[in-house]
Amino acid sequence: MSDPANITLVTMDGTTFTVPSAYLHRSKLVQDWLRSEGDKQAMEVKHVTPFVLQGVLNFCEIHAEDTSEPLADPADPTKPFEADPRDDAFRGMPDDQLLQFTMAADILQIPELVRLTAQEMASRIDGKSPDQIRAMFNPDDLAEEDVDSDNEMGEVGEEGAISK
Amino acid sequence: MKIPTPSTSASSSSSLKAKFRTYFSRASSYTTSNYQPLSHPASNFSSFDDDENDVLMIDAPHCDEHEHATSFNASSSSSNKRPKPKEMSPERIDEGFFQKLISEPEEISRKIDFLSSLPIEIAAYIMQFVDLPTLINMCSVSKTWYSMAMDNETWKEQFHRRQGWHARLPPSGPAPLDINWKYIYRQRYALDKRWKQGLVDKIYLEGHTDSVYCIQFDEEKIVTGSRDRSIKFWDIGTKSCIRTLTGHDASVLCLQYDEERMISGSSDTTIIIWSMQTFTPLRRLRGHIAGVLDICFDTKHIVSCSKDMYIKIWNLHSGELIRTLSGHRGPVNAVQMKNGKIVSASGDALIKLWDMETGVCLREYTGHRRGLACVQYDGKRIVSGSNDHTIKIWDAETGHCIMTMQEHTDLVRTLHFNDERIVSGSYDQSIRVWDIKTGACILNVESGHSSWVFDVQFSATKIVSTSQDQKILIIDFSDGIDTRCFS
Repeated sequence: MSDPANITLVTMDGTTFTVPSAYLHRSKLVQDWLRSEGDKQAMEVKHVTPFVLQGVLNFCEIHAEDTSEPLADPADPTKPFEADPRDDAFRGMPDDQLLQFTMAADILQIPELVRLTAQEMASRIDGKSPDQIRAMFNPDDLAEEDVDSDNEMGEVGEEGAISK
Repeated sequence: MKIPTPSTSASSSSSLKAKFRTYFSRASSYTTSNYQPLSHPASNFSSFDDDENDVLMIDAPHCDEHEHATSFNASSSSSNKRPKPKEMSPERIDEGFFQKLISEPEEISRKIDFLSSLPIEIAAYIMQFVDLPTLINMCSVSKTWYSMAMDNETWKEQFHRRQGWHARLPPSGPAPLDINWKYIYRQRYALDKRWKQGLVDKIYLEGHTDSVYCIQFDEEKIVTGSRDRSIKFWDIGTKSCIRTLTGHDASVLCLQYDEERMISGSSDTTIIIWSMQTFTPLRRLRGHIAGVLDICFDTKHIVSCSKDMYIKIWNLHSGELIRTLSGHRGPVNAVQMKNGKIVSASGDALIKLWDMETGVCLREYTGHRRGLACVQYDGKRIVSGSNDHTIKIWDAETGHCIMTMQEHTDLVRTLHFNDERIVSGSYDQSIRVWDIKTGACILNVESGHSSWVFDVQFSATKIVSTSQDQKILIIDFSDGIDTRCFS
C-alpha cells in the first residue's frame, strides 16, 4: 500500500517520481486512477518522458495551492485565459518541447495545462505566413501518411515501421 | 526490491540533469523518486538546456544509478509492472523506440508538425486561439493543415470567439453537425463589414402625424408611440402599418412589450397595460402627477419614471402601486431595471442606483455636467447620454466613469447598447455607432433624420430610429446577406 499523502508516477522507462498527491488534484487521469487503483504501488504514465513529467509536475507544484475552481474543460468560455508569470518557463520553450508538454497535459488530463500549452502554441502561430509556419513545423503533404505510420510505430514499437 | 520512497529524495540525485543524461545514455530506471521539487536549484525544467557540465556529469562517479540496482522496464513487456532488480543491459536500448519520446531538444533533429502529431481535438483547440488571417494562412501550409483549418468545428469556434457574435439556430433547422459554420461565419463577417463601412439601405416608415417618441422592434414588427397619441404596429417585411392603437389622451412617450403585454406611458400622466393578443387596454395605472417619461417591466414589476421627479414601482399583474422612490431633484427622464436594481437618469444631472426591494438609493454617479436624457443598464455597466453632449460608460459596481464619448454636438437623447456597440441618437439629428470597448465612433449617420432623434434601437442587422420629423428610419445592413441566424 502506498502512502496516501504521496503518489508515485512511473514513466514508461521505469523512472519514478514521488510527489504529494495534492499536486495532482487537477489531473483527471490521476484522480480516476486514485479512485480505482489507488492501492497499487505506482501509476504508470506511458508515453511521457521523465523530462516532460518533471516539467508537468513542476507546473502542478506551482499551481498546487491555486484556489481557482478547477477547469472542467480547457475551452470553457466563461473562464478566460490569463497569462501567469509563474508559467513563463513555457514561453521560452522550443516548439517541439512545447508539443510534448501539450501531449502530456492531454494524457494526464490537466485542463489548465492543456489550455496553457495550446494558448502558447497558438500565439506562436498567430500572425505567421504560410512559409513561416512551414519553417516552424516542417509539415509536408504526406502528413496523413505520416500519421498512419506513426500510429503503427506506437503499436509496434520498432523503427522499421517508420520507413514504410 | 525497494518501494519507492515517498520523499522527493534530493539525496538520491546529485544532479537532475545528470540523471536525465544518464537516463538517455543508459536507459536505466530508478527505484527512488526522481521528482525534483521547485526548491531544488536544478529543478526548473526550463534550465534543462545542454551545457558542458551536463555532458561531463554523465559519467560522474557520484551518480547513484550504480548504487541502486535498478530495473530496465522500458522495453520489457507490460505484464511486468513493478520495477524488478535486474542487470543493466545497455545493448537492449531500442533507439528507434525512443525516437519520438526523447524530449531533450538536442535529441530531436526534425521539427514536429503539431497538427499531425496531436490528438485532433487538441489541434482543433489550439486553432481556436489563432486569429482569422492566420487561420487563412494555415490553409495553404499543407493538406493536413488545410483540412484542419477548414474543419467545421474550427469555424464554429472562430465564430463563437468573436466578441458579441451570437447565432440563433432555428429549432427545426438542420442537426447541429450539419450546420455550416463557415457559411454562417462568412455571413456574419459580411454583416460586420457593413456596420463598419456604413453600407446601408435607408427605409422610412411614414404614417404618424406628429413626432415619434418611442420604438421597439423584433423579427416581425416595429411598434412606435407618437405625439399624435397613437401607437402603431408596422410589418417589418412589407413596411406597412398593420395596426393603430389609441387610448392615451396625450403623447405616447414610452413603451415596452413582450409576447403577452405592452406597457405604454404618456404625457397624460397614465400608464396603460395592453393585451398583445387582443390589442386592447387591460388596465390603466394612475399615480404620477406629470408625464410618464419612461417605463420598463419584467415578470413581476413595472417601473415608471416621470416629470414629477418620482420613480414608481407597480405590481405587473395587479396594477397595484408598490413603492415610490424619491430623491431626484429634476424630471426623471429614463429608467432601467436589472437583477432587483433600478437605474434612473434625471434632469438633475445625476444617475441613481436603487434597490427595488427596499427603495434605498444605493449609489449616485456624478460626472455629467448637465441633465441626463437616457440611460441603459445591463447589470454591470451603465451607459448614459446627457445634455452636456457626451455619452458616459460607468462601472455600476464601483461608480467609476470608464469612458466618455464626446462627438455629438447637441443633447444625446437616446441610446442602446450590447456587448459590441452603442448606438446613440441626438438633437444634432445624427445617429452614431460606437465601439463599446474602445469608445471609437465607427459610424455616423448624419442625414437620416431632418430633426431631433428621439429613440433608437438596434439588432444585429438593423438600426431603427424615430424623430421629431415624424418618420421612422430603418437602417438595414443586411441586404444580400443571409441573416436567418442573427437577430
